[in-house]
Amino acid sequence: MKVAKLITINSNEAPEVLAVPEFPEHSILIYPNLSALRKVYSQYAKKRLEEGNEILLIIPYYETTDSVRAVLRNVGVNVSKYEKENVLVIMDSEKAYQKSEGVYNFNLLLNLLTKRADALGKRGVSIFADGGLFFLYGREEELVADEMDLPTEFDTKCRCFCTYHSEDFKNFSKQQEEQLLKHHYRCFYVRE
Amino acid sequence: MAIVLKEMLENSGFDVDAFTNSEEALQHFKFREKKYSLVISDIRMPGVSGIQLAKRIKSIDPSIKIILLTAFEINKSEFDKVMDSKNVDGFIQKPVSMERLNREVSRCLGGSIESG
Repeated sequence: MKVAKLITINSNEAPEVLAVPEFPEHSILIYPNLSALRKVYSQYAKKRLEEGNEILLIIPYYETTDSVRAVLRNVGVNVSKYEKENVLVIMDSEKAYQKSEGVYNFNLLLNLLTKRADALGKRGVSIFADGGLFFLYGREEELVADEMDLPTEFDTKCRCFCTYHSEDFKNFSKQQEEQLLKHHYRCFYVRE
Repeated sequence: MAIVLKEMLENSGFDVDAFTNSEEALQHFKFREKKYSLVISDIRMPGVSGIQLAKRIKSIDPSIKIILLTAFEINKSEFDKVMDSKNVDGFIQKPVSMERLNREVSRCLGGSIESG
């Protein structure tokens, strides 16, 4: 993929790289396999949740919400505590991308979480949201349109990483790919 | 998962090829389609999804039976928009038990193949 803006990072260094700069941003993260993505979100979650300054929302596609919980527990994240405190929210993409009155559940939830982050005096909400579902239902055009509707920098304290499996990302046309990479604040390709 | 299913089915007497990449599976099938009676595929797969794989396989050989596996809820209205359910011969919810798998495979193959 020859796009100047694409930054290749190692999955081990990803948690540090992704956390700088501070909020807000709308970025893209392309991963080669589930194992690389798991390393990224689990290490990021461990560091950020233990610091206690962020709310984290994870929307998986290639694994179940219980699998995400197991991955987080494996790196020592106290999942039940953080879920009880509503600073860790894990929602399957089928549910997250269902619409109620024309609005994705994801957007409604994000709105609630950013308000909660403000109320708790936290830096903001970090999100890892996978786009795989849109390919399953042939909704790539809708996905691109939705991505373009989201700002490159949010006006709320929100750091969103739109995650794509590299094999899914190849399903975009060259034009869509360029459009997406140009639109996002930062674009990462994660190596294992 | 593919390897586990392969072993489960082989233990029941079936001859099985397993792939962890749907594109590779499709390429393999294109050149050997007469060899197969049934394709079992996960729905959520990167690149070529289980739905796309099923459609392409059916377009090559409509007589092939298809079973789709998933660990997730299926949004039926979305699913129906992209896949004619007549093209899917069975669904199995994960986790998959050996009994359920054998039953579904035998049913799809007309019950003519005894497992075990």
